[in-house]
Amino acid sequence: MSQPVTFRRRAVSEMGTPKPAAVGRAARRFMGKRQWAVDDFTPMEETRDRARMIRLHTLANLHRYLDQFADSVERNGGQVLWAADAAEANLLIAEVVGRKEGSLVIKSKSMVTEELDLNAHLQGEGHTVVETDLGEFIVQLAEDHPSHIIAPVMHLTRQDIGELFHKRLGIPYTDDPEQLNAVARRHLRRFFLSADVGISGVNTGIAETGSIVTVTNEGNGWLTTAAPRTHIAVMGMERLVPTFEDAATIVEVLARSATGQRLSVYTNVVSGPRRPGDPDGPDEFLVVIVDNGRSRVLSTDASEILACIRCGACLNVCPVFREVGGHAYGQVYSGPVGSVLAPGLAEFTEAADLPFASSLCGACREVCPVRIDIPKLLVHQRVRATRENDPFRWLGPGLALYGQAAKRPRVWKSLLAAGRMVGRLKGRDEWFHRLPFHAKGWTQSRDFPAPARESFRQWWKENRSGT
Amino acid sequence: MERSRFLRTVEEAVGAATLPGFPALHPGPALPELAEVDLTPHFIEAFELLDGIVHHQSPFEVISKVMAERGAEEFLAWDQEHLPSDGLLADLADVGYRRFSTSLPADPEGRVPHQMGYMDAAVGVSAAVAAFAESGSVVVTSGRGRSRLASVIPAVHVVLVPTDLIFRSLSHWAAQAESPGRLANLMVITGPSRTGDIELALTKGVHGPGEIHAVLL
Repeated sequence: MSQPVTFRRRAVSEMGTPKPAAVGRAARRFMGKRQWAVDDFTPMEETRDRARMIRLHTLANLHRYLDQFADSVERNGGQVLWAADAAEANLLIAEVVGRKEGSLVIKSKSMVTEELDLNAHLQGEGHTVVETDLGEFIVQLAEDHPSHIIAPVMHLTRQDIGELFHKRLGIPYTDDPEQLNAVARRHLRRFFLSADVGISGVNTGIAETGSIVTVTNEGNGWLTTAAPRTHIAVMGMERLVPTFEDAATIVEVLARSATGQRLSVYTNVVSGPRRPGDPDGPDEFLVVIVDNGRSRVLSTDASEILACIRCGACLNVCPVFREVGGHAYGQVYSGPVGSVLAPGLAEFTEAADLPFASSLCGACREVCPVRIDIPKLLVHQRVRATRENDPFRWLGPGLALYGQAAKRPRVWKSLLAAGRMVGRLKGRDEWFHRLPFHAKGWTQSRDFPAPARESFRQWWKENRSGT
Repeated sequence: MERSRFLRTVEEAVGAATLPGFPALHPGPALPELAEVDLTPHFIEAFELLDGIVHHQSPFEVISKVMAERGAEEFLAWDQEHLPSDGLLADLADVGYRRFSTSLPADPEGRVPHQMGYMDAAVGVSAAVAAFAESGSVVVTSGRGRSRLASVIPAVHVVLVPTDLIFRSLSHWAAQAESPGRLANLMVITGPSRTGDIELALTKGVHGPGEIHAVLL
């Protein structure tokens, strides 16, 4: 019974703090911006259709496009490494980083490296890892975890961050975002220019050209891939498209859905190490392609979720996410997409309660730039959870037991009589505020009515019979 | 893991996948041919919407003014042959502005000390190989004589934009551009560097330039 209460317990504790209010405010502002960009861009609906077809087509031919992508990367002078799971990915990356003892590694935002817990692994081997996305940098300073795919510190207020910078960077307290921003710029600049290795994520890889595309608004992604001698791009294996033109479609819908921009400030297309004659850029370019549960997800009813381009729009519209915030999900990916993906990527039981953290209202499907039918996938995951998972094992036998009782009038009557006894013992208060054992989940968020003190038949007999 | 084994696992998963629609089909080209329009005013409007600054004066005038405003002496720039403004670097040198060399030393150990020198450059000068009217974007690339860091390190980026290179949108350009695989890096820049990470309050210049100037040619 530990699982179903896990999300609830985390959600309740998150809701008790001021954080989720900040999350709700922020999520609603993202939504407003998205609306603006959608209205502004005339062929948005057609572009969404195209983006969806590109993603589904790529998934249906993923092995072929991965093969082509690897050939293209090598043709450009890069190297491809294949990792079946997090442990292997960490090992491969640590091998490259570890060619120099105590390397300085700069990172631009990457959800897949969060999945791998890469920072902890590299730090454990004596390297220094610096997150450079402002939000991720704050997360790292606070020794916290990101709470939103694209706005990692949605859960912190400017006062929280001012306090943190004051404590950790030794600057006088300020909660002015401009000043905090300037402090981070100064602090991170020397890391950019002197790092040994830059590690980036990949928004989309291009099979035909062997390129990786990253989008950022701050410019840290570009610096990460341009300044250090070695660039390692870590890519979830499903993040491919066939052509450059397809990648253009994806980044166009991504920027609009994520933050309401026509394009993100920096759309960075990297195709290998610097060429002879290039004045700067990395000497070495490696792509680490990570499976880590994705092939498992691909082979289930939930395979469509791999079409996701990680814009975060479904988080912003989700009534559950807006109330509880990202941390309540307890997984790298939160919100509607996380509720489908997380149980698939990890051991299913670890996140089996997440598909239930949804009202199935369909707002996520409405906004998804690639039109993923998330509610349908949530139901698939619920079915699976109910079938496979310990916490739900009582449900089938429980209903069978109920059926047996309901079929036998005498048994049924005596059960009702027992219930009435409880009702009488309960006295004047007609509500249970706390139930024991398995039933306690019910009373965590609402009361349960006590059984009536007499049955309707009894009442009829005493008051109306014979009249 | 070996490539072949990895791909075999994926192939098996693809075989078992339940994808909606007709995923075997690729959607084909993105956009229809559209009537010719003068894209320059649209580019200017979109660029200014992002707080970019558009100039119609000569690149020399714009850069000298920006340098003077900041009291700056050093700048980063692409080589003259890649800047569509004859004699620009020589003219800037004549009035005393120093161009910081953007070529890395041959010795790999020299990279870091050399790059640390960029910290002092206030202005970076490069040129667009394409620009997009819809989003107000400019495209810069790596290549011989074309430094990437020149466009991203300084606080101010001045980009020269030949108006005949303005396209409707990224998609329209991508449909006909040369493969990006030929160049190590291609960057689509859409406005000044910005972040909304702290309570979604928009602040500019967090890592890249907080100011971007387009000099139309």
